[in-house]
Amino acid sequence: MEVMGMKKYAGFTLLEMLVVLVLVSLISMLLMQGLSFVFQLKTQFVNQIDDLQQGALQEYWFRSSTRSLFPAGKESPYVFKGQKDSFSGLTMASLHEETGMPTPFKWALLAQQDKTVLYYYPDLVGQPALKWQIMEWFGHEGRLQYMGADGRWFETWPPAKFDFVTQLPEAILFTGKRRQNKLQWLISVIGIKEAPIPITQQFDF
Amino acid sequence: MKSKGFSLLEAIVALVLVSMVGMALFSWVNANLQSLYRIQQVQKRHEAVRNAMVFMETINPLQQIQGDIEVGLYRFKWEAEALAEPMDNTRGLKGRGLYIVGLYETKVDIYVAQELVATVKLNQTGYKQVREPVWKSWE
Repeated sequence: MEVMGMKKYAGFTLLEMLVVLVLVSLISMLLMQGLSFVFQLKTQFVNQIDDLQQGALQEYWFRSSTRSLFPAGKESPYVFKGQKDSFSGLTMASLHEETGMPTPFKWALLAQQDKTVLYYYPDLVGQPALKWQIMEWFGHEGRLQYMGADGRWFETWPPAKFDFVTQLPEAILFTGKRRQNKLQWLISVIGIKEAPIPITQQFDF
Repeated sequence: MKSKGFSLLEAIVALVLVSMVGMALFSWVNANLQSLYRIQQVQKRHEAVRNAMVFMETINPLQQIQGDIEVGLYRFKWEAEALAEPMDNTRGLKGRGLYIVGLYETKVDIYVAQELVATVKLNQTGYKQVREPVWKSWE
């Protein structure tokens, strides 16, 4: 009897093993799901931090250079020209030269396959084709608009059919995307909007 | 009689433990999700405020004391209040200049898709030309 009893209760029965296996698999499945969820969350956080840091830089670059637009002389090839996907002119705060020196520069939105890319052209004089990629997003949303002194908005600057406007617009609106979200930067141009009249001309009696 | 397998009590204890751990895990994940959402909201609000501040630079409160303008995604609604009566600007020691100037406190409500996202207050100067320069002849 003793031997029989020992034999009977040594180890688990099949039913017990089955129950344990089912429980273990259930719990591990739950944990795995939780884990994958946490990983997903982590990538979202990383993206968010990325957006915050890189986005702040991109915004600063665009804002500072555009804000410091400077009117060029009437005959200059760098008179401000604004299209709905690019603008060029002179800026006092270019990204590649010293601040305070009027420097030719250009910002452009180019569509590439399924993406739109924001480019900065650092050397319009020497290498007009050289461009720096600043930002990109999926889709073809992206444009530039220009505001006149009276608060009206235009697709190009100077406006297509127009009377008299200053060389520089009052404000520029950039529309783009960051991941899935629409993004807009409004920049007001500080300083003079029209090239000063040369001294020789001013005193030309 | 010796018991075989688990007792009901053991099973219940095990289930309660598992569910408690699961709950804790999920509430932690949920808290993280909420903070992520909050960060996104704050980021959007800051963007809106930056754009509003830039927009207000183009507004002269002495000419437009209040207004409501749509710019792209945003709608800016502002109301300026003079902190003191606008006065003549000075021009060196010679007296008054061509402008009257005033200091204004402007309250701006920022709407995105008809929803108020932020309200900012800022101080601005307003100006208006009220006199023409007088040219002295040379002789």
